[in-house]
Amino acid sequence: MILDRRQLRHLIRTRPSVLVGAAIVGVTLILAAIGPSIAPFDPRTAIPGEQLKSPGFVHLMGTDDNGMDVFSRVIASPQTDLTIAILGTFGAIAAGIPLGLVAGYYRGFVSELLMRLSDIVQSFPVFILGMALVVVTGQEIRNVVYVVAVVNCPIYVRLIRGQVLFLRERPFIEAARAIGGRDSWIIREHILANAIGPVMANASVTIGWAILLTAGLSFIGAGVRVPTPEWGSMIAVGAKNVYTGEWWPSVFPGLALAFTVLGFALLGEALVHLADRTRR
Amino acid sequence: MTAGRYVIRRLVLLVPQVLGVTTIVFFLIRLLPGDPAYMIAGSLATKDVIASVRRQLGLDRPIWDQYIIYLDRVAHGDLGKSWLTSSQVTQDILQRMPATLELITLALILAFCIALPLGMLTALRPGTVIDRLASAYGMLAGAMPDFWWALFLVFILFGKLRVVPAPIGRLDIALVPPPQVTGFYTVDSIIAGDWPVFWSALAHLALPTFTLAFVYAGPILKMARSTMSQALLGNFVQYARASGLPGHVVARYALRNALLPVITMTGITYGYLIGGAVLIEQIFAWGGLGQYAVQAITSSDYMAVSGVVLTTTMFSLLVYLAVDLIYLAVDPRIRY
Repeated sequence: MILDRRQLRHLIRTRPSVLVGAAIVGVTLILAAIGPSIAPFDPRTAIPGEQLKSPGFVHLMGTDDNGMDVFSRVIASPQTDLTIAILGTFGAIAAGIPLGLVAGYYRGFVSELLMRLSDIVQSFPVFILGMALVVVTGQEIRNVVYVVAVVNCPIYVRLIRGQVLFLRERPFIEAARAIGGRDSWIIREHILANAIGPVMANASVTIGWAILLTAGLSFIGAGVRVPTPEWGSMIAVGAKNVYTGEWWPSVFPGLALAFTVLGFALLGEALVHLADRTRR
Repeated sequence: MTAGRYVIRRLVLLVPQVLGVTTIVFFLIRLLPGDPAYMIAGSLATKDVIASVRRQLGLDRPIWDQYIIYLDRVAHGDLGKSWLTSSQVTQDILQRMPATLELITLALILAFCIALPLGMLTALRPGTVIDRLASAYGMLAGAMPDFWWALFLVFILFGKLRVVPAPIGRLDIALVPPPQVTGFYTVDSIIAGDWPVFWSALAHLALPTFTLAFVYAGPILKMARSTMSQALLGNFVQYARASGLPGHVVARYALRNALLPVITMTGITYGYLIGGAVLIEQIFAWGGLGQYAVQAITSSDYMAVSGVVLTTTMFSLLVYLAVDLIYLAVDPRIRY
């Protein structure tokens, strides 16, 4: 999807919230790259004798009951969460594109089978399926990525298929066929090139959602584990302290998580809107 | 095609769907680590005992035989035996299902009651302060992790203010659950005329219900606003306005057209929550299906895992079917 300057200006004028989204996404991406190295304390190590210190000058967001610096862990977390969410989303797209192209371009048995399979995967309870898959395959980051990819794949199969069905009857495809183009060439050069926009726009929405899924899985203990810095597991570590009044180990990672998801959602919504406009 | 035939066709279509789900669940479960026979027999069991348990479970047969046996059992409502609770999984699930259903049903009714009027209001007055606030809320709520909100609200409302009971279970420990009719404590206690139990059940429901409603009203609100604004741009609304009908009548016309997508959204959320309220259940020690699932998964209780996945999936499929049938009943334009 190519954005020219005029479109960008129009987008910012009509939807100023996209700037907020882009800013949040930008900051999170930077933190994902350099977060662990700019953290004031080692995000993976507990400091002896510093358990459950309230927020102050030394520990900006306090420490959790293991004695780990909450601020350092909060800014180191994007590396874990974003890596999982982005890789998972691209996994879903990478699998969804060919399946969606096949399901849309060739009608008949294969298409029907693919769509019914998508139905089934989508009717599974995402969370329980995710938990079961992670536990089955072992609690490694790699496996959380696979889970994110599997549960999101049907969305892209559907999206691409919808695009293909919309495009395949258009005159320019007919023209491409009339000059003797082979299927593989038409799909690659004409259909895919035109169908890819909404997919990329949707990626931002999926990434936000995948971050929530990752954090949720880790919260319940079926994802990333301590000491790896990760927002969901940080919230879980602090959960028992919340009841007794030490709110900071849970509240700060929760805020970071919520802002990040919101950022991706705002950006994604604007991009989806834009992709939709350019299509018409 | 008549409506009756459409309903039948949809019901028939459920069969391959359920078969597909069952097949996937069966093969997924085979991948679980650990030898089930070994786990049932215990670590002290001799080889002979383990072998006999394997035979008993049918694990010594070829996988296709096991698959057929599994299908046959599921078809008869037998989901196997849990080795954690050592009772029938079907029974365990039936026992826990009402807790989850009571929670998510109330939560979604509440969410719908928040989202629909707010969505209508914002669509009727675009650009006002209330519209902006509601849009911001819709956006924020959809992005919020529900488990974090639950913890946060527990901290404020239980930890600080003590206006809600401790987040443990569905009733005060001192109270006895009402005799089971529907499994919903609130309904059962009314039937039994047991008011202390009713109030306690309601108090325990308050916070988890509110948390879920607060978070999941967001997407419903967004849907309500966008369909309502679209309906208000429709020709029939312009005609109604041009005819000089009062504003509330016009709004009612628009609402009738905007309602269906909102109902769909609510239905889909309902189907999602049956397995998606896991984290909330865990935080409030709710004792429902979600908590059972977590327990089963973390202890590799594979019959229980497959039972829960199967039950929740079927429930979602039925909810989606119900939503489609509501469409059929409500929308006069749809004729199959």
